[in-house]
Amino acid sequence: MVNFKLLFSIILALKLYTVSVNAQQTEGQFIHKGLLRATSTFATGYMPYNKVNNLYLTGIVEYYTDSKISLRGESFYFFNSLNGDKTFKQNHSIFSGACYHLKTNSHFDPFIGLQTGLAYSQIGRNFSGNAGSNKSFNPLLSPLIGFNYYAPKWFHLFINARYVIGNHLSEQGIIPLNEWNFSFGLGFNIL
Amino acid sequence: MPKYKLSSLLIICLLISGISFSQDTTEGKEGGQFSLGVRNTNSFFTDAGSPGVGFGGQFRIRMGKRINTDWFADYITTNIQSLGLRRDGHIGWSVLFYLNKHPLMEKKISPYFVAGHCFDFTKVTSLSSSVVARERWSSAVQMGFGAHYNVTERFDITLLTQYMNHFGTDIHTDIEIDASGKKFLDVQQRRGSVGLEGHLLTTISLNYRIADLW
Repeated sequence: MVNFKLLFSIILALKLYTVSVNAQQTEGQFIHKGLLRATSTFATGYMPYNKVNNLYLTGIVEYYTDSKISLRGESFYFFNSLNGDKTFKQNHSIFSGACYHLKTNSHFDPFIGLQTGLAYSQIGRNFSGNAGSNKSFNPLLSPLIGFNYYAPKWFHLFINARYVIGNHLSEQGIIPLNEWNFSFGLGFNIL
Repeated sequence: MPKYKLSSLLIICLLISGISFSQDTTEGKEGGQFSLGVRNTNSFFTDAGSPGVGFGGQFRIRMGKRINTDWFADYITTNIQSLGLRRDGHIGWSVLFYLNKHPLMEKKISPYFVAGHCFDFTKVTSLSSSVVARERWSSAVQMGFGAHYNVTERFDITLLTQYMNHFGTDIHTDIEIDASGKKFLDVQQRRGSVGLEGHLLTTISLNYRIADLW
């Protein structure tokens, strides 16, 4: 004769086990669905084709849709180049895209990402003299890599590195916007 | 009620709840899915002879299990051998037909055929000592093949290749040599003549499903 009490107990234990496995988040992993972070810091860039160093003010907003994927928007405000305004008078840009976060069991959050963007650029004195405008909007593409380290509540540290691919096309000249870009700092965990 | 009958009933109820939990809850609910995304488009084999790079975005509204629609806008710039530049703006829509019976599943590739229509604004500028520019509006049809890879249920990376054929006033470019031996871009617009111009577009896009509209 079947021992129904034993059978019932086994089935109940199995159901509780499967529910607990599905509901469990990887122990110690800080990043989660709904995490919203923001930051503002300085960024430096080096343009290998133009051999010029640039300085920017950058802002980042990032929303984690789950523990693997985040949606990210960034803006770069151009301050100046180290050679004055000989190459660029302006090189502002905005980016949007997504990042893939590698699985960890801690507050350490490494990621890789891809963003597409738009630059508003104006070339400088080295290219002046021709007729027409020297300002234009130009498409950009940028892979990026970096990591965040989250403190328990409000703050996190971050380091970002990216390579920007694009060209400035205007009536006064056509020059590459390709650039290695690096930034680091302290960010806020908003949600 | 006898004890063993009550136990049997409880076991049956537990088993039924387990089966119903494992059921595909999205079956029959694919229509109405709304996704938003950004894209990078590259243009090849234009009349300019040089590849173009673009920035844009799109949203998708899924009509059924194997039918989706893509509504997009692109801004593409082309460097014509440093002698001129071309700017294209596309705005249009496409219908996607999935080859898989169950497309857009997590960690699966979903290939599709695509066809659609768009409107295009083109401006070609010659960078000679006196800047010459010609512009036109045109209509186009596009057709091609693409594939989504769903990294998660809601987020996908899409690669698309399509051929776009434009109907509009013909803008023709030639590289000429002036009297001093210097190269320049000659841009001609043949008003009154409707031309057919095609180019190949490859697009990579990142998309996230943000809502189910119905």
